Amino acid sequence: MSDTAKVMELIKEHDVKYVDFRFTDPRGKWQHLAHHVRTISEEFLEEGVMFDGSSIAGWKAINESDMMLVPDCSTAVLDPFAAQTSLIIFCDVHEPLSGQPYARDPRSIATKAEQYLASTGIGDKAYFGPEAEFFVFDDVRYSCAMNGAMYKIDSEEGPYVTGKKFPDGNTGHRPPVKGGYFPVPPVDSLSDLRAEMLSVMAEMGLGVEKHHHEVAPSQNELGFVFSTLVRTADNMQIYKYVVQNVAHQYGKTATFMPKPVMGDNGSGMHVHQSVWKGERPVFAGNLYADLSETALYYIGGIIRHAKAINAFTNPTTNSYKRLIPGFEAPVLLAYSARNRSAACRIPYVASPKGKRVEVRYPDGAANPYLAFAAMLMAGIDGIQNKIHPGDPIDKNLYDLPPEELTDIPVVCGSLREALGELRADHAFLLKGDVFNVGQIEAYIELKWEEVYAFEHTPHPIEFQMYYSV
Amino acid sequence: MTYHCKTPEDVLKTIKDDKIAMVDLRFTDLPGLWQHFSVPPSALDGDSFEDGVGFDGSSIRGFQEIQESDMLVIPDPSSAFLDPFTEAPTLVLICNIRDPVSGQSYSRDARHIAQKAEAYLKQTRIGDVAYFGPELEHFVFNEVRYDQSTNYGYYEIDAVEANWSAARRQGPGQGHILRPKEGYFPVPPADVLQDARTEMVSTLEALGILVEAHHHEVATGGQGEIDMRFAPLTRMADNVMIYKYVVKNVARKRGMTATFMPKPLFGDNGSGMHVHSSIWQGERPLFAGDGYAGSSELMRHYIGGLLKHAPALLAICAPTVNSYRRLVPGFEAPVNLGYSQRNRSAACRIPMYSPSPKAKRVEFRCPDPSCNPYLAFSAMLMAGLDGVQNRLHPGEPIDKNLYDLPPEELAKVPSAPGSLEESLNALEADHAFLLKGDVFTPDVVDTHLSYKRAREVDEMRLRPHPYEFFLYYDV
Repeated sequence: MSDTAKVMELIKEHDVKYVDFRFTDPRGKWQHLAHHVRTISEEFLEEGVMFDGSSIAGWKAINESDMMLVPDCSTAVLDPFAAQTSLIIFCDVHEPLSGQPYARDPRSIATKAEQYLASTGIGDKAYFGPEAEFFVFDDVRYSCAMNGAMYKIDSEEGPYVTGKKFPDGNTGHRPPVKGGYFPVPPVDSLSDLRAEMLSVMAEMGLGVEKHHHEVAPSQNELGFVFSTLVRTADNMQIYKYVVQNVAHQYGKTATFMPKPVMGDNGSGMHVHQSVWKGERPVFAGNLYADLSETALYYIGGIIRHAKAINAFTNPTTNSYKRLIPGFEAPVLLAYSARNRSAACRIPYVASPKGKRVEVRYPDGAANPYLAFAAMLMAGIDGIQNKIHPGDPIDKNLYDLPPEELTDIPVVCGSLREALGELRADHAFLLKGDVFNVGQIEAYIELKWEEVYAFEHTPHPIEFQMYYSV
Repeated sequence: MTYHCKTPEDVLKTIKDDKIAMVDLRFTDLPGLWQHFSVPPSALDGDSFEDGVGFDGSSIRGFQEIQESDMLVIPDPSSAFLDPFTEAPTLVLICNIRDPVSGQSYSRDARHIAQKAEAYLKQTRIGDVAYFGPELEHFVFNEVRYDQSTNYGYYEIDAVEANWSAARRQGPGQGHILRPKEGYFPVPPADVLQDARTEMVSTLEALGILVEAHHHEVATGGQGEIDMRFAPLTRMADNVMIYKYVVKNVARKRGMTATFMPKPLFGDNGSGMHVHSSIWQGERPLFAGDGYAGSSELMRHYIGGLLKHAPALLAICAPTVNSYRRLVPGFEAPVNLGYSQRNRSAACRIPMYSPSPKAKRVEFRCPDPSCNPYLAFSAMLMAGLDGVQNRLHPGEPIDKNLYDLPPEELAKVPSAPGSLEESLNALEADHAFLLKGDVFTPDVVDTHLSYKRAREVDEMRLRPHPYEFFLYYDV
């Protein structure tokens, strides 16, 4: 049975009322458009759904706004949060006139990256396994006006509420700063919440593995099984959707913002990756940490292009509050087995099949399609040009003496810098027409708007430092 | 009130004659804030002006380590004035700093650096006096509150004349407000600060500082400017410190609060400090000539030096993280490193108000009042002198409105750094021109760089910003 026919079966079987067509905008936000089931037919699903692309930031101009969503019916899954039974289908975005994938559609770019890998002969599959951390709060408020700006977070787990009076009494059990990894309840107040998130993800088809509290109070991580590039990016969208909506149902609020809390760990998204050719794990070998030469070159590419990749893997001004040199973040562009202070870690595994590289600087604000595709392209460039990553660094990089540290390159220090790096270094992304110049320029322009807005708005700490200048 | 003292004896006589109750000794810390401590008249004698008065330098920003903390202030008799704000008659003396162990002037004493810059100018024989005329903008608010901790951060400003006050529910609605960017310059009742500025000006004049004008500035919410008459470098930096002291304390006396922070309001103009400067040899204005806009070749080379070293200069002249919210490229700030007559969009302007050769001067528009004026003026002079010594031609003037240039032409005009970090990197790479004649020392440049990086850039980078919640909470 074709995938479209399966969708029609699902609709019948579950008495589906709406089909919700989903796609990802350049910033990485899942967007959706629901069609009443009355309009759905196999023919309709095969033809695609028209929508107005002019209101999606970074896409079409108003005068050429018609766009088409082409459903990937193999992705159909019931929405566990909709009051009326709804079926979610991931879509690619196509140009209605040419019928070709839209050059700025992140999911189409990710698909092209997979195709390019196969065309190089290096491998036929790239596997990605992201670990996105997130915070769960009880209350968050923020505003930015001409004469004032504020944010305020509240969480029953926050170390800042130890002195607060609660209506039913303050029970006193909560993790201290950096103490969330990982005492049992009642210190961990979010265990049931995470369990429910994981179960809902399983219902939505993810191969779920584990859940645990993270280092910062109110911070969490869930684990799901790795998969191929596009499939994993799809899974990341489901992951975020489930996390944010289960939290919402509990009357809480979840965020993947990289650094919402001052003075404690931020949320990263370590990304494990490996390339396979048929049944052969291309990264396994007999060099350092049982890696192959290909794997070392892949790391070389990731390190060589890291600062340009930052524009995709760390695409917010807030990302760089996590990536501060000297503050226990993976900012040093080096690699090591086991050592978690390097930007690239090679986790210890017994089986050659588990051999992979963990890139540690990305964060959950990234558009997963673009971030994974950019890392794969950097790795491929490393392999094609035999970019050797140099010697591994097995010392704790955080403890290196300053004179040794200065020789090790670091990731970008700001979104401004990352956008400049991407502008200067993106030929590796253009290979095989995976990324394209128009899309990169539009992306940079979109992100510059954020940099400008951010750089224009005074910051509370500036009043503390400078009000009396 | 100014005393026109010349010698220590003049000061001691004034103290006696005017029944001075307290003597307040002042100096400037490295970031540029006035610091002070007071001694009773009995503790001051003629030797105090030679041997100095001791204080602990370890708690002063940018000064000594705790294990070498003893420092001396050396009062400058010619700076004596009567503090206009104290209850008891208090005589203020501006001081230099000396290291008691070496017996030498302290290398991180900004006022000493300014004096060395003036001496270096004479030594080069390019001229014998450099005049500076800064225009400091500021805001006077009715209220400001701010705080940041682990789980929150905020600032909130209030000002009765501001556009956001029109909807105010407390008190009678007055209706007369200044719309954003329309503060330049309607009469009262929209301008509520006329009397406050007048009092500031009267106070400054009583202290011997000549004022040319005061007016409301472009931004709503209380932006103002008071223009002082130009003076030689160190004297002018002293005057800037007095100016800021008077503006802040008159505001406070009237139940308001003044700030020189470059960009306190989002979406309206920030506060700059355009600095006019010129070099004279005796009675001869060396900047006047028959070249472009009535300039001399020397002046054009001086501008060449300012423009060449502008990125490094900004680390000293626009030295705060907040400075770069004013200097954002593409938003009507003087970020284009070119020069022009009249055109206010260039970093260097040659004002054409007056045909007199004596009025010929260059206006450097990038600085803002968050700087240490001693360091800023000295660094500008050193950059200009480097231009003169190396005959740095500033290129062609730009007489088009730089804000309106097409992008491809604008791309040819170099632009100022976009962040404090970039400026600090520029200063680290380009500061040989400051070290000439030992005016700046490597120690003071290093200290400035490490202080700004560790205490401001890194501290800022650690803290979430309210706008990031707006942009990214839902990522």
